[in-house]
Amino acid sequence: MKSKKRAVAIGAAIALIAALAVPSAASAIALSEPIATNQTVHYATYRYHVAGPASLQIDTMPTCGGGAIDGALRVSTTGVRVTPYLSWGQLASNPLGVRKSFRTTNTNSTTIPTGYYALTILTHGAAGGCNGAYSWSGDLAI
Amino acid sequence: MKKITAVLFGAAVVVAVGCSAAGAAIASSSSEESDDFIRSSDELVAAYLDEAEVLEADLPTDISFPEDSPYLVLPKGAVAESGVADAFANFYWLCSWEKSYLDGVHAGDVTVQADALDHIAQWPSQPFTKEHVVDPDGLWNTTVLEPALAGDPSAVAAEFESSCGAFTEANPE
Repeated sequence: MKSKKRAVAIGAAIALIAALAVPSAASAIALSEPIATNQTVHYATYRYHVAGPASLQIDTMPTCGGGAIDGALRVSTTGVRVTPYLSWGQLASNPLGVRKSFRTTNTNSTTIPTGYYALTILTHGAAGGCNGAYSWSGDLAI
Repeated sequence: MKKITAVLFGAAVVVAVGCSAAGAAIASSSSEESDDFIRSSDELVAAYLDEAEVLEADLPTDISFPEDSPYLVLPKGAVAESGVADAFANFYWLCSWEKSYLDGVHAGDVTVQADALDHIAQWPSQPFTKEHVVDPDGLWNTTVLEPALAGDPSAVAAEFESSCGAFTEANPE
């Protein structure tokens, strides 16, 4: 009995070490960033990404940010947007809290090429003004 | 402006670092007041030139920063965190050393290669990188830097090809 328990414990330890040691291609990054009303905001946090999928989930947005919030990825050196915007908002068709996968603008592929990427966020349909005083929150897997 | 950014960023960013089966997770909490946005192309270019001035002395011989770039444009209705201007200068710096390294490989010049690799290896510890770049699993190190240090330039070549458009446009061959 003791050796069985020991074997299970050793197996679990090995599995844990293996899980921690294997680098992940896509890290989940919880975000909470300042927002500006009815504006495109280019954020300055750059994430290194090895070719593969990338997705974004927006969970909350302040009402001052407007009725909808769109997110896209842009490349590091040129700032050119490489994915179309994904949308979340108050409408039932684009609810908050849903994870959505990015696709490349050029090839409509879910494989985002290797490189450094930053987020661009666009808010619209606003009723008030945020101007950096409030934040949206979500989770970027890249 | 940069000091304010650093303070805000410092207050805003990483609160916890952990590991999960899916990989490392970084949780960040936001600043409650952060209106440190760049709001015009002129402001963006000025901030870029400030950062370029700091990095200018550390560029390879015969390379300099452009005075402006078609990519340093902020359309009406858009704002940028101040680090976006710094990013343009710093990624330009990285691209310049990757180009120098690849030229050294092409020419079989091991001295040029070694000098360039010394600079490329500094990328993760550059002030900009530490403040604005997220790579919790160190994937850039393992997929780009380490192969080059081991004598394989292919990943640097691929990165230069895919990510250095602004540099190659400013330095046509």
